[in-house]
Order: sequence, then structure tokens, then C-alpha cells
Amino acid sequence: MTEILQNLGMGFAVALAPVNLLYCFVGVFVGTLIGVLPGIGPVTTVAILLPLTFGMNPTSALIMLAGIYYGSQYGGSTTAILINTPGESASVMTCLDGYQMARQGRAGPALGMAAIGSFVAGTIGVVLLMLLARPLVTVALSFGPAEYFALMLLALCTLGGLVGESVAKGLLTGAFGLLLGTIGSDPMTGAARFTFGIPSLLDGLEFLPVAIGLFAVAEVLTTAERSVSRQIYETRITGLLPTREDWRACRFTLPRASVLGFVVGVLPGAGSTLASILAYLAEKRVSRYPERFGTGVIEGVAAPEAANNAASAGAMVPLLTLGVPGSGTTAVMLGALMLWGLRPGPLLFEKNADLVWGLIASMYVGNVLLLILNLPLIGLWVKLLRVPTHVLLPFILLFAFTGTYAASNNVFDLYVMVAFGIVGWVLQRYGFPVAPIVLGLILGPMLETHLRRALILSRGDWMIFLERPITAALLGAVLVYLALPAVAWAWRRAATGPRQADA
Amino acid sequence: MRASRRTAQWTSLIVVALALAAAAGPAAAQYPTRPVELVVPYAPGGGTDIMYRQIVKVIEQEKLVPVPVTVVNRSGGSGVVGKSYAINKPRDGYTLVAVDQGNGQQELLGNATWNFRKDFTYIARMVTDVNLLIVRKESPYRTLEEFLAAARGKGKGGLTVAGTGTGGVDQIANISLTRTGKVDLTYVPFKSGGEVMTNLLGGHTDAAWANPNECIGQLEAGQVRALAVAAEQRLKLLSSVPTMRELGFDVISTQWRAVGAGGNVPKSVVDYWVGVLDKARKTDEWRKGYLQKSVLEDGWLTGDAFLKFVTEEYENSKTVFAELGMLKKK
Repeated sequence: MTEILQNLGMGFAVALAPVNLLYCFVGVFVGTLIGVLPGIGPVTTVAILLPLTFGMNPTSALIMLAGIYYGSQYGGSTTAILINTPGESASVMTCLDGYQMARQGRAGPALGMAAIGSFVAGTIGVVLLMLLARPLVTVALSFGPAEYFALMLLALCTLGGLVGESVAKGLLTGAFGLLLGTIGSDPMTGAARFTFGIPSLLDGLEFLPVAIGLFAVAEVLTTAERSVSRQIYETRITGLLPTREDWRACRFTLPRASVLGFVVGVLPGAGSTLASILAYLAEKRVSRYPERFGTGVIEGVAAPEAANNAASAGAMVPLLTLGVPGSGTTAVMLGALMLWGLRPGPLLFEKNADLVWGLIASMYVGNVLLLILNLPLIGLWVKLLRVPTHVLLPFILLFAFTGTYAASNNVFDLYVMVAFGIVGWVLQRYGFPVAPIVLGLILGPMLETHLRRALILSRGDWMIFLERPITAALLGAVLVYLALPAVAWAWRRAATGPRQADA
Repeated sequence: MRASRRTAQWTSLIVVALALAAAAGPAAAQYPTRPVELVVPYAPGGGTDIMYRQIVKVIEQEKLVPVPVTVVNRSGGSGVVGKSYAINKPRDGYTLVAVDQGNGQQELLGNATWNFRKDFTYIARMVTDVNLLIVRKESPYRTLEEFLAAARGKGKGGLTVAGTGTGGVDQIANISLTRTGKVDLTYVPFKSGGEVMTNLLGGHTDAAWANPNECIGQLEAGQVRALAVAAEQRLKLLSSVPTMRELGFDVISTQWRAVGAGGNVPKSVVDYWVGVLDKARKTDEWRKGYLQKSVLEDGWLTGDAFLKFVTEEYENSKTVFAELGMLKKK
């Protein structure tokens, strides 16, 4: 422990040097900015800024790039809450309750909770990174294809938590999402599936255009269909910061989601989007009023936002301890470390202790800077909602189009976005929930790939899922999860007699 | 009179020649007159993208090109979207595109409608990245022979080897080793080099294919061992690792990254870029600042030799894909 404190002291000496403080600020500022803009994500930004860093001191450069990475997770929630447009894929879940809160005049508390929740989670994430990096990486390594498959299956079961009023309708859209996930090259044989000769579909449907279409474009269409004079947002804005009740509601949510997000972030091949989904669903599961999720409850904002920030700290674990990237952005940072003349790998902690600890300390500093940067912006964002609907709607579309195009420079993605805008509009009209589509699209390909990989490894022997303790435990949890409602129903029926239970 | 006529003839000839020279000369010297777009058909942050940004950086530092040269990322369809975009632009040398193994392979897999020879000009191969067969520290296998013997002992399915992607360099290397080694090795495809490494370190696969820059940190820390390198020569950095050829297995597996353009761009354009890129690759910035640090090899190859190389590789991929049942193009 004293060693960690000593190292941390050294780290702060590095991080608080004026030049590093400046780069940390530049990083988190740029990160916030690109987080707010839909489409342009941290991977792209870090890659494009990379050549600028070559003349720089590696420590300063790494501090800046890391700042962009976790800073973008702060900004991603802004458009999700204000205009139902996820700024990053990890902010999709934030749309569900964040946007509803904004419509009820509670955009301020939602944005405030997103910022403060991100701060809390970011800080918890750094503490965990500092204390648990080594033991956790061992756990991460024990996750092979079979374990990932079981984890994804568990995540898919929780999809039930997103179905809304009608289970049948929810399962239907969930299955639609899974189906969409099969589009593209077969992950094991490379055969093209459902691509209809369109090269843009070879890598599968891009996630962000689908999400922006289903959420933002569909919402614009739905609103435009009703009277234009009708306001989307409650004009009376109640408070800019979360209330005392909001804090009470989230006092366990934040630490729970932070730890969950961090652990999922450590697993390479899971990522912050999955972390935010799992955190949202877990929160709904333990909530005393799960039925209110999706109508604008503050925990629905706090959980995914905390989880995606903690996940970006978690993704640094495999990078720093093993020299293996845990996410797209850390993969680019790994390349950067090499170009700066460092050797990322297991020896980095020993050979470049000042760099690693400087980075860790800078993440504490960066999270404080982000909080200072983001809280005053809330007032400004909330004012935007006073813009009349007929002016706001075209602007949302403008944002959606430019964001989608900027991500890949591929016009096809715009067609996808518009098509899913129409799909989302029709589904909403007939009361089908759209969130399960997004979940199916993310989980489907992972589930399939890991299942088939595991079976290749076992030469087709399904026992691989029972022989391995972690896999068996996760699959046991799946069984319990699925059986519990049936058991509870049978129990009630036995206790009260069949007639009352049916009523 | 006759003399003057002859003079007149000569004069007119010279005038015509001068006029032609004036028309051709400055035009050739003038290219490029407007900005040149370098199309990278992948998202920012990958190996190709980083190489192209390096090229632009060296060109800017050394002022090798008088006009702006910019990288444009057009991702999608494993490179097919961006490459198709580039070859459909005017083939005047103002749109260059990253070319690689995918040019031939995507055609063979039936994903692209182009002809890898006619629709592309292969200007210069800039880097090559070799493949190593690695095992983790805890693995019982110390040499390639031990590894292959153990795989033979396992019978059908043999041992498992992780690699990146399907139908790519790693899988082709794996097939080549299976063939020349007369052994069964099950290839397990992963999405990224990072996933390959964690699965190897976690002991989920018996071995893995990896580029030196993906495993050098782990090699130096002793967490993984390299059994052999699938290259023509031993690597300077890892001189104790034998080549597969030395051990009697004819497996060469290199990934290459190059600068290209649409088919039939003017020869003057090709020569211009060969000149620029040759200067660029000889700078310290390129050799020490990029190749050495990223553990990549200089892969300089141009003209007919380059085209021959690409064609041979295409034929090799064709055989392998046919064997795997992945071949779509007859």
C-alpha cells in the first residue's frame, strides 16, 4: 500500500506539472467536444491527432490522448438526453430515460447526474485501476470464447427487462435485432450473408447509423406527424442540478454501475457499450419500480453513464499490464506508445513507472477538470430546449446526418439511418419498443462468434460449456434467471389457489 | 533558295519540337497542380491508416510534394467500399489509394467486382510485416518441431492456432504450415490482434500467429515464445528465432502495405510517386521514427516486380480459398 501511495505521489508530481496539466485540459476539452458531436468518436480523434504528438514528450502525449478517451464518455450523454441522439454508441442506453427526463423539463438534473455520475465512476475506475490492475487481468485472461458466450447469453436474457408493456412485441423486436446482427461476412467462414451484393454491408450494419435512425430520426418523424405547434419539451424547467431525492435514488446505483462497468471494461472484446447496457439492465432488475424505467427515472441515466466511464478506465488495465489493447481506442494508443519509442507490455509498469503513474494520476485530475468543464455547460444546454419545435427538428436531422456521415464518409450509412428512422417511427406508432433491436444488434454477433469459436476450440464438443467453472456458473445464472419467474408464478399459484392467480 | 527552304523546314521542325516539349515538359513537371487525395479504405487508427499518416507527415516535413496531400478515410466492407470509390474517380493521379492483399482476396471471395490487375495500379510497396508463430510461457513446446509433433500426436484437429480474421494472411499461413508440415492445425479466427493475444496468454489456444509489433512487448517480458518466423530471413530484432524455411517448412507469410491508384494512371504519375516515396522512405523520420519503432520491415518494391508479386500472391490465395471452399470467383 505504501508503495502504491509513493508511486501515486510520483504520478501526481508528473501530472500536476504545468505542461501536463495543460495537455490534460486540452485532451478532456477535445474529448467533451467530440463526445457531444454524434458520429466522430474517440478512436477517430485519437488516430487523427496521433501524428501531432510525435514531437511531444510521451507522457504529456499519453495524458492528452487518454483525456480525449474518457472525456468523450462525458460528452456522449449530452445529445442523448437533449435530442434522443446518442453521441457515442456507449450512450445509447442514456437515451431511454435521459430524453424522457428532458421532455418532462428535467434535462438539467439528467445532465447533472450524467456529469457527476461520470465523475464518480471515473474516479472509482481509476482507484480500481490502481489497486486491482494485476489481479483483475488474471481474471480477464481466464475469459475464453466459452466464457464470453455464457456472459453474452446472460446479457441476452436480461433483454426481457427492455420489452416494455407487451412481452411478445419486445421479443419480436429483439429477434429482429438479432436477425440484423447476422448481416455481413460470416465471422468464421467469410461467406457473405444477406448483403445483396452491397459492399457496405460486408462488415455488417454499422451500429451508430441504426441507433441514430431508431432514436433521433424516428423521434423527429413522430413529433412532426403531430402538430408542429405542440412543444416536445415541458417549458417549465425545474432546476439545473439533481435534487436530493435524485441523489437518494442513485446512492447505490453509482457505485454498483461503476464497479460493473469497470469489470466489463477490463474484458477485451466486451467494451463500454456492453458495459452501459448491462449496468442499465442490472439497475432495472434490482430497482423497486422496474416498470418506471424508460419513462424518465434518474437511475436510468446514472447507471449507463457511470458504467461507460468506469469501462474506459477498465480498458486501460490490459493496455498497461499486458500491452494488449482492450478497446478500439486503446488499440490506437498502443500504436502511439510504440511510435513514441516505448515498448508497451508487461514491463511497462517497471520500465516506465513515471509514465504509467503519471497517466493514472492525470486521470484523477482529468475527471475533476471534466466536472468543472461540464457543470456550467448544463445551463447553456438546457436553454437550447427553449428553441421552438419547428426550428429544433430540422437541426436534429442536420446533426444526425452530419454525425453519421462524418463517422465513415460513406453515403450508404445515411440510407441506413433514414431507413431505420422510418422503421423506428412505424414501430413506435404501433407500440413496439425499439431498444431491444439495438441490444440484439450488439449482442447477436458477439454471441454467435464466441459460440462458434468455442465449438471450434472443443472440436464440436458442447461439454466445453459445462466443464469450465466460470462458464458453468454463468450458464447456471442464466437458468436461474429464466426459471425464477416461472417458479415464483407457481409458488403464488400454489399459495393462493389457481383462480386468484389467474385474475 | 533551296537552302532557305531547308532552313525553313528545319526551323518549323524545331518550333514544333519545342512546342511539343513546351506542352509536355511543363505539364509533366507541373503534376501535381492541385491537392492529392490518399484514400485509406479503413477507419482511422489501423495499421494502414497510421502508415499513410506517416507518409503525409514525412512529405510535409521534407516538402517533397508542392501541393497538399491529405488522407481521406472511407471505411466499410473490409476495404471494398473505399477502394471502389477510389477506382471510380478520374484516373489522373489526384486520387491515390491504399492497396494490399485485400485487392486480390476480396475479388476471389466474390465481394468486389473489380479486376485486381486491370483496375489498380500498384505504385510502391512500402512496408512488410512478417508473421511469427508464438506460444505462451506455460506452453510445453519449445521448438516448432515439438509443436508439430504434438499436433500430429493429437490426431484430427491437432492443436489450435489463433489468428486475426477469416481468409486473410494468418489463415493462409496456417494452411501453408498444415500442408508443408503434414499436420492438422485448427485455425481459430479472432477480430483483432489484441483478442488473439489475450486468448493465447489465457491458454485458450495452443499457439497464435502474430506480427512482431503485436507481441514484442510480451516476448521481451518472457510471457510468450516465438517458435519460428514465416519470413525469408531471420529478423534483426529477434535473431535467435529461426525461419520456417530453415526448419524445412516452406512457409512465407508477410502482410504488405502499399500506395496504389486506379488502373492505367499515366506513367508520369507513377514515376512521380515512385520518386517521392523513395525519398520519403530513406528519411530518418521514416526509418527510425516509424519502421524501427513499429517493428516493420522496409518492403520497397515497384513496377513489374511488384505486379508479379501481387499476381503470384493472388494465385496462391486462389488455391487456398478453393481448398477452404471459400472461392466465389471461377
